[in-house]
Amino acid sequence: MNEFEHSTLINALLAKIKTKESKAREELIAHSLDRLQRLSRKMFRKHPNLCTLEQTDDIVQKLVIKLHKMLDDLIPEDTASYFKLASQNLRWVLLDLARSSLARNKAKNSGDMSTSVKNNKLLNTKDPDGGPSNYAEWTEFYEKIELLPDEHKQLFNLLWFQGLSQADAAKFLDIPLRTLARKWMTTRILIRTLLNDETPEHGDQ
Amino acid sequence: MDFAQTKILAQDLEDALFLWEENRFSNTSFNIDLFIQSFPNLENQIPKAISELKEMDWLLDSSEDFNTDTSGQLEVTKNDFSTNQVRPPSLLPRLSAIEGYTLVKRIGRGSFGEVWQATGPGNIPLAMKIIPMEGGLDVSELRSLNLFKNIHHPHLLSIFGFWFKENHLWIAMELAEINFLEYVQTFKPTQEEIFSFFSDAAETIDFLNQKRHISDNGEKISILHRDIKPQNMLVVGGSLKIGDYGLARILDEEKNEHSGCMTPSYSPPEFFNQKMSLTSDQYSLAITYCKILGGKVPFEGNAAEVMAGHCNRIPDLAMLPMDQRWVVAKALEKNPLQRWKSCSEFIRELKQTNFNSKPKVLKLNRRYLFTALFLGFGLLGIGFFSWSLLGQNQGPKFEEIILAGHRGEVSCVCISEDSKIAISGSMDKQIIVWDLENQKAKLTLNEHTKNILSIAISKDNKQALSGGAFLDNRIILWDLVKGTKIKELIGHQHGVRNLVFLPDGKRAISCSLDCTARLWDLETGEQIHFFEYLDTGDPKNLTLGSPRQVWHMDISEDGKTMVCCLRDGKICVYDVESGKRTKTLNGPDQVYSSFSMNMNGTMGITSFGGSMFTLQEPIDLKIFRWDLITGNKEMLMEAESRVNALFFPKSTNDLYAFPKQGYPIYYDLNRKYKTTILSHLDSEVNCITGNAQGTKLALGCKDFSVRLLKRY
Repeated sequence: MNEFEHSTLINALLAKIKTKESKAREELIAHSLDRLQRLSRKMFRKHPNLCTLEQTDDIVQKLVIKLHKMLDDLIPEDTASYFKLASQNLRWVLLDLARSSLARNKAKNSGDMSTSVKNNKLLNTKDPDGGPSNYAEWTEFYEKIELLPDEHKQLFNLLWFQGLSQADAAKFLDIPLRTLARKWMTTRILIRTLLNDETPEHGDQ
Repeated sequence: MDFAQTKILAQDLEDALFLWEENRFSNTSFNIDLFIQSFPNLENQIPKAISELKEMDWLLDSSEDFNTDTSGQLEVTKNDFSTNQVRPPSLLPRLSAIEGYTLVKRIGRGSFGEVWQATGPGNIPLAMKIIPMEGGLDVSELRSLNLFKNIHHPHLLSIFGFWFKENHLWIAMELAEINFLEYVQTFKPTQEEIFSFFSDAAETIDFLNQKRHISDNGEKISILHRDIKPQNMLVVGGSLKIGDYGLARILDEEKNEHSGCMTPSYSPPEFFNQKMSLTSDQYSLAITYCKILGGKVPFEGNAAEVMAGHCNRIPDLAMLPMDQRWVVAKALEKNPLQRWKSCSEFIRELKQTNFNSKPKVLKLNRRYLFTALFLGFGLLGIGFFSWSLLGQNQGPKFEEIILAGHRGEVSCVCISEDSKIAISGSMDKQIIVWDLENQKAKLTLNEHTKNILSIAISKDNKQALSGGAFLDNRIILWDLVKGTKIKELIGHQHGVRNLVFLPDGKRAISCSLDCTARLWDLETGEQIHFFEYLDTGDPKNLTLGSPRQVWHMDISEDGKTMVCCLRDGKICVYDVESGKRTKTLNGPDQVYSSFSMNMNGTMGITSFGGSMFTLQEPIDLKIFRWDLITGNKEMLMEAESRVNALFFPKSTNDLYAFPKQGYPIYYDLNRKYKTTILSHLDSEVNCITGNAQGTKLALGCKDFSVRLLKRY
């Protein structure tokens, strides 16, 4: 499905929700679940044995409840608003997930984690794929994303949380692909700068 | 930090960086030194900025790096002449930069460069591969080329010579008639012929992989092909030859990365993590097998999806015969160490399946037999008493039959009363009905849109019930004679974890994570009633980790009593007809990972699965026997890790427990002793069931298989 179809579908589903068509709500939520599964798998990739089938179900359910609540409180006017709200909820769930996994590891290692975290900042990691290599780093990553300026946050939401391709995101934002590519480069630099900030702002670090 | 007002990079540096970013994805011959020199004012800043930007490459959507060629194969296009490459002036028919060699016509263009039909000295026909290599060859690349030039094998395409001219590497090699894929599509060879080709390929890859090739410095080394695919397997004079060996290695060294010369559809997961293994080529050979035999590769889609598939997903092997899937699945293991030891072993196992042969039968207890014999002889001298004491420490013996067919973890399994049929449900959304007498798949039922959480079979073996996971939430009633869906039972708001037919065969009970248990009329498809306390089916009341979620359920033989285990550790006993709760037993705030009950519903055995809030550690590892009349409990044993599944055949005093780690446990409820069994079992078990006599057990495994255990 390309961005146009994706966006049209979401718009149609939002319209149906407004007319209280309950199936539409489920279809809309199913869109976000797929992304959640991909992103949580990314986080758990190095810990394949962490999740039992039941835990995965709980994670999914957590997002569903959040999205149901979100759609109860406020039906987004358009696809852009939906992307923004759904991304925010995805971020919360993933952050919760990273934090709870971190807390469990801390309990397991009886406090050793805080030392290891300090010694293992994101950008010093030896992980070959360069991404976060532990839950502390994932926690930090999902916390720091919130500090991005709005235009970069929007771009990050589209590419990372909603999984749009750069071409589709450019069409969605109605900007040339080259402009988007350049903005995405700046976003990545910003994220790096945020993650490289040596002053921990959060208690669990 | 307020980024809204912060300018991170100077404009000219950002310009330069973006120029570099654009170029790095479009042109492999991009010369970074020249690029930096073209910005004299930023010579010191650019390398640092590039290195910092590269650190964030894990955020990139890799789909930007790939496109799809006309045949549907994903190819990396970095080296394609169709991009910004400058064609060498001599790359025209009847011309050549190499003296004595003449290009005739271009016969292919791929990720490396172009392949031309050519003639060599004495008008000998050959193939000339021409690869753009900006900056020339370094010493290590030349050494590699020399090494490959001196490797000879009947099934390797011969290299006659190589030259470096006009910024291109020219390799003269044996001319092949047709590649393997084209050959299969054109000539439709028999399965025996295809196997023979694969045997040749496997033998050749093993030859390359063996540590027997002498490098320039005299060391013995092994060689990975790194780009096994049908297009690199060529048919020459009726036999198969492997081409392009070593090119991956040479090109990778030049670029110091893998992605430039691999074919994502055929690449093992470790390549995406910049790692290699001696079984990497086997993975690619297995994908090739899927393509040749079944016409498609296991992971399809855009580049990101293919990559994610290799790294995280279960391969889709539906294109292969059922019996072969487990063999190929093993070759496609994400963990290289869990694959076959060699390509030859992989192909040998495939041959043994021979399409319609019976599944592999393992005599699991062979080691036990030998041990028992050995011990028996030794103990004869000590006397009967000692021997009988030793006998107490032996568990039951089983013959194991592996039933392969699922493409995902097996999440539920049931067995018919006469033990002739087993039905399994899987994470692959499929249900398979197994004929246990012939040990073959009898039916495949596809209707669910999510994982299958529960399955049940009627007493007459004519109907089955299956329950879908969250977001499917349906119960489907199946006709096992026709292999069709009879109807759907709609009502649950969450995954259906448990299903059971009542003895009359006309009603069924279902339990779900939506905190309800329901009695159904199977003829009308209507719900008869909820069960007391478990009747909060309103989705608005659905809260995360609700304590009333029903995790396990069983009924007594007469169908009058139902027992449910709830998320908060409560065990509730019900009168089925009225739906009234007759007894509630309180447990710790732990979920039950497994529950098994006796025939008359007076005794149950439980294991725990973790905190009711987090479903994670700490896990109470004690296994309890509950008196469901008095509410008393007795600890039977303590496992060493989370028990995933336990089973208590209703007419016996045996208990089987399958922990997450370590050997399965057998516990004799009468004599109260435990011992480990099935030490050969090589997969984690998700679920277990069996007949009342305990003579046949069926295990649903994490490795996608169902294991049938026959006790003797």
